[in-house]
Amino acid sequence: MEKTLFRFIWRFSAREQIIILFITCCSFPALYYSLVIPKNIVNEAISGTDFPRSYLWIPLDQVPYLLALCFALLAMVVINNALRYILNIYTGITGERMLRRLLYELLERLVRFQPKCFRRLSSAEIIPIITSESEQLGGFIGESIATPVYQGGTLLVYIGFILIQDPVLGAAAIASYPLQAYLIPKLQKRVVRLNRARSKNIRALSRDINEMVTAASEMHARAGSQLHLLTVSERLYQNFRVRYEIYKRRFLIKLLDSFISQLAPFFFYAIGGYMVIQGQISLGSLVAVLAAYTDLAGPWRELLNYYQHMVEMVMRYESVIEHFDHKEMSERDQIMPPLDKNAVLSGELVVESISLEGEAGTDPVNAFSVVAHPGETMVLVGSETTGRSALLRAIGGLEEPLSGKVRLGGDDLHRMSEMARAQAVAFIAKTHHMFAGTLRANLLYGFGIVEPEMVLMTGVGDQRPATRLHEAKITASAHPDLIDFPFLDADRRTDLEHKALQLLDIFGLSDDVYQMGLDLPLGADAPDALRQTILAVRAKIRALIAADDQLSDLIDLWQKDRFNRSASLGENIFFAVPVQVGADFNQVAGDTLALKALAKAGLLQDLVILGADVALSITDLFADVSGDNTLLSAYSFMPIDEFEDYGRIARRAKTAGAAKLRSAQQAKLLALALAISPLRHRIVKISGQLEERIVKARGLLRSFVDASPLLTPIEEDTILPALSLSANLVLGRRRPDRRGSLEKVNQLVRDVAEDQGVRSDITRFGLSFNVGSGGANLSPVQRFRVGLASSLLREPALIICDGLGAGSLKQDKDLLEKIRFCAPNAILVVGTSEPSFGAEMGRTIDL
Amino acid sequence: MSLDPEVEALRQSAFFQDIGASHLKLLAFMSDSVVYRSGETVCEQGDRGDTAFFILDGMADIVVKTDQGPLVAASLPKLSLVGEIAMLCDIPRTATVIAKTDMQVMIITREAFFNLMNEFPDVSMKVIRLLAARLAATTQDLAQSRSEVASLQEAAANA
Repeated sequence: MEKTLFRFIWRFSAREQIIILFITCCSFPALYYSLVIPKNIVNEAISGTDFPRSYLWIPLDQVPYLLALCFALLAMVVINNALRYILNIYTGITGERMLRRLLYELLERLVRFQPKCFRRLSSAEIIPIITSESEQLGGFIGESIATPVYQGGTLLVYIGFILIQDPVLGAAAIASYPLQAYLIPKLQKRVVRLNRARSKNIRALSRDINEMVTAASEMHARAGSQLHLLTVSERLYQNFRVRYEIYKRRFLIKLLDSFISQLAPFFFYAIGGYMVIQGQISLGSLVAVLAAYTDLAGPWRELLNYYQHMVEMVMRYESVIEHFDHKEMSERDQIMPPLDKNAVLSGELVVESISLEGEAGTDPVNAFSVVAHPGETMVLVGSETTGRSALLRAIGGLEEPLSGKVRLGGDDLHRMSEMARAQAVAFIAKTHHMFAGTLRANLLYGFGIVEPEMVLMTGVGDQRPATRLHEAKITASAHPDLIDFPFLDADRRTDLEHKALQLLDIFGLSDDVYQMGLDLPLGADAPDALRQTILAVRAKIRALIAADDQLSDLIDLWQKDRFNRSASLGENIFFAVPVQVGADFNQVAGDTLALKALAKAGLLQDLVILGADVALSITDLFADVSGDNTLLSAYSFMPIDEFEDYGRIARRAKTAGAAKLRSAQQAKLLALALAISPLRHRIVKISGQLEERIVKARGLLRSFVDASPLLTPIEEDTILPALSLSANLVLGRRRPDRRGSLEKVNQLVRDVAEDQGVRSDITRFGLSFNVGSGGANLSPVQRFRVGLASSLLREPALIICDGLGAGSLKQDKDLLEKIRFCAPNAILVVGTSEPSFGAEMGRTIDL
Repeated sequence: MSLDPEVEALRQSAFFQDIGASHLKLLAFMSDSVVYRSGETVCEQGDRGDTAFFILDGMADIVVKTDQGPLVAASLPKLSLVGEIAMLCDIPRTATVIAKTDMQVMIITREAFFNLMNEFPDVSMKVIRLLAARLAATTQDLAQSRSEVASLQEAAANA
């Protein structure tokens, strides 16, 4: 990386800076003329004589001449402003592109860090460096050369003008500058040091915050909250202190400049006045000089600001890159090599005399050597203190040894590309880290781009593919067309999914993923084949349920001409479910179109009255309950602090009628009514008559439902994206008043799906399950098994498994047998602290 | 309100009769009303449970496990309360309850009931008095049974 900011700027944006400079210089003439023309208008056009004069070689009378000059002035103003705008945009773009380039380079280095680099610099510190500390660099880079040139040039023009009027006064005008040029850098140095301290403090604060968040449960369990609050409070105080000191110095500089500058007129009036009295210069000249001197203040201030800003930015750049300039980084070629698809590693594992330094609590490893052949199982036996884990990591190519080599099939594991090594070596640990995303993405991680949305996001502005590629090229960033990491094509994906499902089955995750598939909302982009399958199975399941008395007793199927007592009124009336998974009908109730549609169907009044009944019953029931009773607030349809409000509206509805309420009030009561599910909520009774009217109204409301973005209509021959696959298969609601209905319905669905042979389709669909951040939606055992499947999917030549034999010996033996079954020709290296475990598995080596 | 029939039913039970109607309404609101078909098991002997079952309609058989197999110890009619002890204390079910006919049952959870007791202490008082009265009656019965057993043993020894 370039060592200083200006080297970086020059190396990568020299051309742009020159263009900016050129545009800046183009604006000088316009600026000059916009100062000269007003003088001409006054002197020549208004108070001039001797017309017609020619302007631009056209003879004009006085008034036309005046107008011509005025329009010329207007033209200068327009040109000036247009150039300024273009300049600003261009400097902005240049700066932002450079920022992107810089940030990408830093992040690429991050990827190349060896694991031990992260011991010194945690993610909590890296994040503020990359996000906030670097941000201002973008804005500065664009104007880094143009601003001083522009302001400096303007300054020189004015000074030149003053010197031309009178050299002595000119000298007086610039007399203060050398003094300021000496003092200000000295003060600025101090500010630089303070800013460094401030950055350090912010990074430390970042670390503290990170701890508070990641160790939140530990902190609360052991009453550490106050300690952490004290720590961050002190950090914030130190932050305040350092910022205060910076403010004092920064504004001292500005004060100095301001004071000295305003001191000059004292000399002007004194010396200049004397000279005028003595007749050495004219009064007009003195006035002109004073005016020009006032104009000097602007550019000088801008230069001063620029200087302060520049010093700060230069320091910031250096402070940012110093954290990313490590000796122990992988080569760029190792991370992003051209992909050699045919290179498949296999062969002997030869460990040649590797040595590792000891870490805290473990011994160093000295000159360890071993050879293993394909199909062999080798067990390294040693306790945690023998450095066994580090040794296994080194053998697996994860950590570079101090000396010695590890070769697989003749190739040095530590010198080969990441891709090649990942394909050849599988490292299985008890804790498998998962990435936020689907199960599929985690299993196929590393094979290619599984989910295009990850690398082609939506955003604002110009999102065309060509622009995206162009911007990536000119900022030396990554792009799918520039890097050899492919989008996974459909065939390969299907192939890999098939293999992954087999592996999941071997390691006992098949049932779990099948259930995930059943529970997953189908979503708008479910594959067509799956949709057809679901509809076919749905028909069978519904027929089964209708024919079986016991089953019909457990589940209320949705039928167009029947009221469904197990579902809410909202679902019954609109014969639809909310588009958003798990949403209620509150939004629909608030939609004025819904109110209109319901009024047209003749149901609105009754529903509002029903809602009023609910509100009054609830307020009545909870009349004596204390406000902070949490259990009761879970049962209440309305939040307890709104009881009065609802009560008032409800009483009004009951006495004056629903029509007398404002639509917002009607909506509130309507929402209550729509939430009622007759078999679950017995607080109000839904008469048979109302049920019939509701069923009849479904047809009238259909057009509203079709047009509404909030609802999906229920139909026997289409799928409902908002519902889970399982709910789509049944298209009904389980009876809330029958115990065990949920389990029985789930069992029915599972059994029928298996009978119909769609289990594998559903399991494949289950791969779209979102595992959550860090795999939070899976249990540790599930995560471990997914890790196994992912590792073995690559068909590695070398499999390393550490930490076995510590718990259940039988389980671990089974595990190794399964692994061996999946990879019969691989070299299996096992690490354990149990000597007896090792003895049965294969060749043992004691550490 | 459609909870009224349930409240009326609760008031006819010995356990709940002293508790005020408004509190009973709240309890009914928080409880589920569930259907059991004839022959279905409501709860199993030995299971841990924290709910009481109040029979709104239908009949239930109380079945205990014996060395000779399951034995129907009693049949409970409409308006009976089963499992209230398990609801109050953390003990396993003392018997299996099976629906003799189709039943409508109100399921009262410990959480709901305790919440009610917390909120309205007079409910707690009434429950305590009820349980104390039961205990007194049971103690009396036990004393009587013991004396009968003693006299039978004496008679057997003398014979």
